[in-house]
Amino acid sequence: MIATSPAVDHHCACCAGSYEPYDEYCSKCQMPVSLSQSVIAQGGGHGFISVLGASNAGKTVYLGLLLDILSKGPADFKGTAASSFAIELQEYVVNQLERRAFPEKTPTEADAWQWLHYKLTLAGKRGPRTADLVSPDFAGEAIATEISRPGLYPAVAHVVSRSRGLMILCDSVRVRDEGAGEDLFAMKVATYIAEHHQLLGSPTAKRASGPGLAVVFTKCDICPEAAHDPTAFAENNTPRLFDFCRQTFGKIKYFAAGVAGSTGLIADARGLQTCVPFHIQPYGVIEPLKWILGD
Amino acid sequence: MHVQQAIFTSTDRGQIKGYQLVAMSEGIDRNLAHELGGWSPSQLDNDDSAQWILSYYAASEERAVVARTFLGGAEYSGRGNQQVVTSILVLDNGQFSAYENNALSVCRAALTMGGLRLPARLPSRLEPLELPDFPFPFSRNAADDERADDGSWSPSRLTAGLWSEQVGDVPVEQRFVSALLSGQRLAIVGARNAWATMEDMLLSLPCENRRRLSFTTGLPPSLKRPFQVHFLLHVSPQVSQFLKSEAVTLIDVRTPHILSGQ
Repeated sequence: MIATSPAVDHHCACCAGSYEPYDEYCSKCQMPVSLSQSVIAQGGGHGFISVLGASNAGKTVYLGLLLDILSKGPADFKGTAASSFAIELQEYVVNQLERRAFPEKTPTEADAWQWLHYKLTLAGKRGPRTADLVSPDFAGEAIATEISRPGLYPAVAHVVSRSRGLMILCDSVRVRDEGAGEDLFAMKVATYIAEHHQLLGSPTAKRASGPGLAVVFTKCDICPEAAHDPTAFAENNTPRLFDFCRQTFGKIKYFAAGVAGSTGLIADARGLQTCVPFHIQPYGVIEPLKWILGD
Repeated sequence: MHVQQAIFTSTDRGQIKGYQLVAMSEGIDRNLAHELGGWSPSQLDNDDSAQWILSYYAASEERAVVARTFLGGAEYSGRGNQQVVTSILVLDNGQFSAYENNALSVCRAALTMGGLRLPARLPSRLEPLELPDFPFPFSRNAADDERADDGSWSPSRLTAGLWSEQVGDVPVEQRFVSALLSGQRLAIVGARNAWATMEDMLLSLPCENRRRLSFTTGLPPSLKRPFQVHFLLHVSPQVSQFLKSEAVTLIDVRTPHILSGQ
């Protein structure tokens, strides 16, 4: 009897491209190979969730705190890290916030992005079920660049196409104060999502079966009107996005989220200003994910 | 001669927020702008604002790029980082060959003419930079020496010793030259004077081969920047693993017999 070693799958969990055993990253989408191997080794269905938004919308803080809340969550909605490096983002964000600092800007280099891989346990009517959650912490510029000129950041396209649910994070303060720019960018992102899920011009039935889209207005500690009624806030301040999503997505909901109870600006001896959180008061962080997965 | 130039950094004034080409001269088209954005960094390994990094790569068959990267003050979003600024010159083949395909000569001339620096006010449009038609005469010995603690000049060219070494029956210089000509990628760790070492390498190569030799004197290794030669002060296990996966040969010049076994 000849002993054979089990076949090793050398295909990327994100783009299905092949990689060599000694590669650190997938050459097509730059997903870490170790993450790919972890996802595939653990088997089961894994769902990507895309968290998109402009630079400085709050993606890193949101994701890091989301993971921290999930890891301490109740049994009916709890997440555990599926691999050791998946905790790095959570650890980094929590440590920074505890030191009263926001995380540094996410690099545009795709091989420097943090990826998360969590196993979620959700209570359902027919008993508990599990779901794998995989998502990269994109740099906002990468999303914007890939939308306007595809090819430089292929991970964006692959993750968006494979996502069972998506979030568009919008800085509520910029939305309120800076006019049409934020509205137009968010609409660009929504159009990109719709394009990748073949929803543009599609019939109602197809739209209903498409992915859930959560639009999350961040930093609502400084913009209480967003927290008061996110849907009305969207309709009044991002009318283009609101109309487009209403016509295109069968499953769309608006949320408001905040992390810092209050923030301030500190200037150093050189006059360089840094925004600091005075204390952490998470609000609305977990609801968008619950809605997406509850779907 | 007039060469095209651009600046890549983080701003909230552009079409997108964050790192992007914020200013460029009229000779830079959309395709070239896209290429320049791909090679330009958004993070550095250290926050020493006195340090700067020189990089060179061929953006296309007709365009050579000389870029200087440095820290330029607080990043606009107030997240505590300093903004990374890359000032870029784009030369066509004729212009670059006038400088003997030597990016360091181009950099010296540009700095002398006031180029490759962050303007006091960030414009949205740049004028082409005027460079001399030929490189300035330059004494290498003066540039290579480092000032000692007591203020005197003392030679510090690590490469003087390095170039004269021999591994087996092959001189180090010859090994480097054959490695570079064959397209082998190298990461040189611990060189005290990356500029002098790089200049030695360039001058060891025939002029026509220098154009294809991309290098950086200190940018962090990244998939989107496949330089042929990297200079690094130190390398972490993660970076070492990454370089190995990209088939980059690591050369630590701080240890003896650095090329043994290679």
